[in-house]
Amino acid sequence: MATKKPTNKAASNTIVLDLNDEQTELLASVPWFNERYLLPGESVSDYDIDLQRLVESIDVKDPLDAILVKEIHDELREVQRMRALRQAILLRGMSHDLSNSLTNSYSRQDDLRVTMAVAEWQASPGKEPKALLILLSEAGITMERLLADAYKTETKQLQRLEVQVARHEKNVRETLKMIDIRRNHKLMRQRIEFDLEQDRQKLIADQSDGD
Amino acid sequence: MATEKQKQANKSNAQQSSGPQSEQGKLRSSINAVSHGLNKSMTILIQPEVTVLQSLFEDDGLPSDQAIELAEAHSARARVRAARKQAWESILSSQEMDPDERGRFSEASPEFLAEMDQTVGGKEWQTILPYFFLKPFSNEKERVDEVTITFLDKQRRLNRYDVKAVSTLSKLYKKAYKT
Repeated sequence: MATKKPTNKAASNTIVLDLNDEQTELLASVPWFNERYLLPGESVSDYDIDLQRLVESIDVKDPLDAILVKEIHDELREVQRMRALRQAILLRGMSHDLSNSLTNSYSRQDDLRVTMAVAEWQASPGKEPKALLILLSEAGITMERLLADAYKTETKQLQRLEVQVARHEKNVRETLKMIDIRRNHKLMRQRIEFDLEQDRQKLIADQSDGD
Repeated sequence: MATEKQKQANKSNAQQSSGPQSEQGKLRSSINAVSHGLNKSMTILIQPEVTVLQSLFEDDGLPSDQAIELAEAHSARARVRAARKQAWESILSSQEMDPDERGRFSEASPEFLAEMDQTVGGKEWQTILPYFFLKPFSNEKERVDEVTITFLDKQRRLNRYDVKAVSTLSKLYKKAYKT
């Protein structure tokens, strides 16, 4: 099912899906459906565009499907936030190890090379700027070692974080199952109704023949 | 077991408390309210969205009792999500640190930006990272580590309500839409 492109009006108020007027009205009265789960600084249009993609890929057919797809969308965004936090924890750990390593080998105040190299790394942490690589190689340290050390020193936080990622991923799987269960039920109901109708027609035909 | 007199004394002392003094203590207590109310039964608090959802399920061919159970379960899940959002907002507002201490990505290379987008699977890192990443030689690491652990523990405590809400929904869907 195609969704309406989010308009400016929609972006500020409601989440717009391509449903009939009555269905749209019903969804509008579910307050949390139209509430975008956004943190300060997150973009409304990114949220709507990602939701639209999901709606199209899952082929939403009615408001109940839409509610479940939005649940999936919010869970996936939570997974992404946790992954972002994981990156922040690792980079923070690397930054700390880098500071310690450089402090042990250089005099930070006196050495302009350290200030320059750190500023360069800070703009793209985790990367390997030349100036920093030279300093690290003089001190006998590699970026891989910094990352490995960060994994080791930040284990406590990373383990807690993985629990959260697993929780949200499980919620996504469970919600997908709910969509499937509902769709299979609908399909079965249609088949049964079709069979019953065929039986009814046959019965009427048999009765006509008997007469 | 505490005597009545001891209970009264505890109550009186607690009323005189001025709350947590340390930064960590303030952070912990700032997100205490997050889980408040998550155990409430929705049958007591029939809210408008429950009624709307109930009618959606009824239109889908379910009897009233199943429709209302599913509506309540969806509403409970929405409340857990709201509590998680509140926990995030609390931690972000507690991380109002000196901008000089934070990492900055304004000069980051396009390769770095692309790699982060790919690793995280979206743009969320642009919001989260500046709050939690510290530039080298920062003195804030220990504090930010503590704050992060407190936040993750809070999220873990919310899992209890999350598991309950999602497993209840799963069971109800299986029951209502069995084939």
